[in-house]
Amino acid sequence: MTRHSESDLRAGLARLADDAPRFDADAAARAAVEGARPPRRWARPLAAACAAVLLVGGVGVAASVWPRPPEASTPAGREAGLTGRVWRLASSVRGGIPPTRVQGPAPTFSIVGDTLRLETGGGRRQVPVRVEAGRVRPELPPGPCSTAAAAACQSPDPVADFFAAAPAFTLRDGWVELSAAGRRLAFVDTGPVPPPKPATSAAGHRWVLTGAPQGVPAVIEGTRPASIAYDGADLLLDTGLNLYRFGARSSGESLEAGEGTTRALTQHGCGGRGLAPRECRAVVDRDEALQRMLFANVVGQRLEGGRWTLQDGWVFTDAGPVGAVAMPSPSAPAIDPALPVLLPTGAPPVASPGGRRSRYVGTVDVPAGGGRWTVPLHPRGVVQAVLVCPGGRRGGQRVAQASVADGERALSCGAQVALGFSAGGGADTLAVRARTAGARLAVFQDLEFDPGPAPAGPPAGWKPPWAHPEAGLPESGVARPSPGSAPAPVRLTVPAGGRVAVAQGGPSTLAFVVGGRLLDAGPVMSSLAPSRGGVADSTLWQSPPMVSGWNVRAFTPAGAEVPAGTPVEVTVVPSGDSAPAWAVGAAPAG
Amino acid sequence: MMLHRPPPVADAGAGASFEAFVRAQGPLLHRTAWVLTRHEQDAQDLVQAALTKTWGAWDRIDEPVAYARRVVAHEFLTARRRRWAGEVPAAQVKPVERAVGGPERWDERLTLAAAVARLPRVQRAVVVLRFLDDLSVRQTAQALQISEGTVKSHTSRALAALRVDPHLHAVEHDEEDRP
Repeated sequence: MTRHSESDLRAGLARLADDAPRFDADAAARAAVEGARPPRRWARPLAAACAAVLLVGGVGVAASVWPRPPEASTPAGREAGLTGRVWRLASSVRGGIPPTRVQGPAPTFSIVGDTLRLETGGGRRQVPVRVEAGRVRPELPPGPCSTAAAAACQSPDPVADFFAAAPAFTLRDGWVELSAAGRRLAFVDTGPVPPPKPATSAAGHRWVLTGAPQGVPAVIEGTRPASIAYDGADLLLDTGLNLYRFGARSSGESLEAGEGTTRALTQHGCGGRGLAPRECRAVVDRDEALQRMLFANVVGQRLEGGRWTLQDGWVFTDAGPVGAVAMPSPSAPAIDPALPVLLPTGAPPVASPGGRRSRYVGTVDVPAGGGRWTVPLHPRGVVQAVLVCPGGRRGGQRVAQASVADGERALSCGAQVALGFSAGGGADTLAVRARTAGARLAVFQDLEFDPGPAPAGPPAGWKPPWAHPEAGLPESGVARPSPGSAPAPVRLTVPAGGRVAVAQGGPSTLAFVVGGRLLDAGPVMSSLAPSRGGVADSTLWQSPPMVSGWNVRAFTPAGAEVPAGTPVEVTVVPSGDSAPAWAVGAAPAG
Repeated sequence: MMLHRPPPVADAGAGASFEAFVRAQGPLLHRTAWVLTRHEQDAQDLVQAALTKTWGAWDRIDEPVAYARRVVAHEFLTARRRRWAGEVPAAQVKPVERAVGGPERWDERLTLAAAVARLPRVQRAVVVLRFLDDLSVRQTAQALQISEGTVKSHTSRALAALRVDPHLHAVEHDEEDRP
């Protein structure tokens, strides 16, 4: 196309129109006649309606929405008080659920017995479902789905299958991994969405949920900095616009069941879109036959206020959801000018009055053959590089090998590698040898702990961790600070392969050192570099204390792992502003 | 409480004629909506809103094509900027842009799409209606419910913006460099 020719503009627009997706005229006509939108997959309602979304037996049962009921603009409608929106039960399987419309500001789903119930402020509709062992299906009505199209309606049930085994969440630095039935889920920021052409601005960030079962939104592209957090049960992705919750619930649990974090979420659901803050939640699985269910839900706009908890090192404060915030690095010093540097991208860091943060350093495309990059380190930052492959995992194919300070390791798609930890800052070099092109390394730093305005002291009724035997600290071998004295390191002996139990009842930052190296973090870690470091942070006064366990793995200078059971001296180093409200103890393996 | 009025009552003949209308015009409306929005489901929403309203007025409109097109344009122009519009959740990883017409043209299409998307919404609608749907100034004015003079001025401004668009300029040079 030339820029001066209207005829070329016509031709160019025609080519654009030729790219249009297929349009199902028959379905559109039927939907128009019945006064509804055609059934569609749930991605749209998820985005459009701040909708609670329920996956039933692998079939997306979603609340689609009209912007407002057409009758609302009529005199009769106004007289009848028709406001809000019209919610429509929909299924990704056409004909699977009869059109059901309910008017109201926000829906609530629940499964009671064999009935899926949709409730809003303006009404209630129920849809029969069939409960089978480990799964729930919509009870298909007579009609197309009972005859020739029955096979199409009986879609596979990946979600129920996925949670046939109990899932487990694993904390990583900057991301969270969900493992179940041999599959892994992980939300990874793959960095800015590639611009269509060089020199054009990126459209935003793309978050990829790797290994997601069918029907679960695997990709969210946003335009703002986002955070990934884990509240002890669910994976939260806060894009700044919406808060997405991904997780699994055991039978009988529901989102509003006694969790401060959840209450804070639901109280603010749907806010900011012209609707008053209302509950916008998915009540998941109250039927014992359904063991576990993966759900994803736009809980609502990013939260402000509310009380938050601190679990597993991920911080939620009264000031808002902090979690692990992926954000650009304000400065990325290039140590070796000969090497390309992962430059900071995106918006400036968001101030967080408290909490532990992971800083998104950048993303780099790994060309075929590989390359070398300088990665700026932080004095207290543990760098994690995550290998991301376009299109998700490639069957676990190892596509790259990363060379870090302590050796070379093969990386599969979705795998991570721990880079150096530098107490003095500086930079490290990441060398990657790639077998194929297309891989991408997303680099995160687990950043400094910013205590912010610390509480003046413990609240009334607070008791120190050692006064809480139910917290699970070992009865012997417990080390704790001396009240009234300055923070000082304590040492304890732990068998290699065992764990260090940590109880934090007040604001404190504890670094773990063994044999001159920092410990591995998290309950499940594997293939970690010896330089992997660990820091436990707590920002709150809490009683009973927050308890976490840290694996003890020691390595020889040559990199070989010390045999299990070998006594290892562990040093716990508190930060200078740590309150004397913590205790550590050695625990055997298991 | 009855919350909604029943769907419009129409005889079988009306339903058949409406379905024929949708089969004939739906894909064209969808093409227009697709170029306007460059978003699959937004385009579906525009078309579905247009078809629903067209069906509701089926027994009292003389020019259903113009009516439906006017609804598409109106829905496009009045759609408020929703805060969530910046996020696109999807079940599958998709390319940032689709380009199915052959590799030799896809960069051009993406560039043109981006340039059109940078136009103000009214100018974008004018460009699409005039140069994709090939409407006259008068027809465009009727579809957008603005004056013919306004259509002309928007057309002029849109073309001027496209002419100075640096990315289209780059494409132009790329084209010139091709053997």
